[in-house]
Amino acid sequence: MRKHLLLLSLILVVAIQFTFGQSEGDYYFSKTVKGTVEEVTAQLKTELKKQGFGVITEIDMDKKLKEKLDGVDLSSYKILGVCSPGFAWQTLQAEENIGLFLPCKALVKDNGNGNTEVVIVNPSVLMVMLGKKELAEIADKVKEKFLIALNNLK
Amino acid sequence: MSYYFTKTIEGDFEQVIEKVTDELKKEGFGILTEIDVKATLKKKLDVDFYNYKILGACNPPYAHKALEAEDKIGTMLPCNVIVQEREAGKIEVSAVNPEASMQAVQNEALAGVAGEITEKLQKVINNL
Repeated sequence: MRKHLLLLSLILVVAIQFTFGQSEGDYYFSKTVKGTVEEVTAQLKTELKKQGFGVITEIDMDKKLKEKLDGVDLSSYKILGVCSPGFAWQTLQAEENIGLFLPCKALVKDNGNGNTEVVIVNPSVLMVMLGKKELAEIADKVKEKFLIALNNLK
Repeated sequence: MSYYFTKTIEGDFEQVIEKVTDELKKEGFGILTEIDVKATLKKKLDVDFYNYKILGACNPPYAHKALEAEDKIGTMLPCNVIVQEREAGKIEVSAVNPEASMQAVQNEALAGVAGEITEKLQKVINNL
């Protein structure tokens, strides 16, 4: 039984790596879909909401940089601040300075030819740095939810 | 390596935020986002918390350099500066240490930018 479980989890890990093209230790997860940045952003917000997360900040980085820097012209690059009040509260109770890493960031970027890439930070990687067990456990739960939202994008 | 720089000063919460904003500006940072943690927790969870704000600071030339070196670095932008009033009149200001958080990225090309931006944020905290 234990052997089967081990094998099953191994297959799952490989499947996740295959799907997202990254390994567990990477600082982000990514998926590229067809659609405009606006369409994909709306879809991402819906999927995140289903997992209990709201988008509380939104930065159009391409526009910001174009406005501030001469000669810079980037493709659409949105930075969304993703937050679940419940999880945020849990993390604050474990570590008051966690605000240094909140909200979690998701990117929606135009990669050309109608391809839009969604990138979401891997909260577990940052939490490891803080070295607190409670935080790592919360981060793992958040990570699972982010992966479901990303996986559901079409 | 500590993942943040911090300093506690005496004063009024809102006045300290103004001071932080000024010091950030001197080093080329604008504030792109501002989250009132206390108000958000009250509204969403009916939890009482002390004054706590998260400021998202961005220095455009450095953000651009960082993006050129690593196109997913937006997941760590803007740089957060947090202002907390755990005890009345004692305001703690902390800034993330980008050099520490960018260790997770493992991109040599980022090291230079991370180092420079770290120095600037450290200066902001020191000057308070």
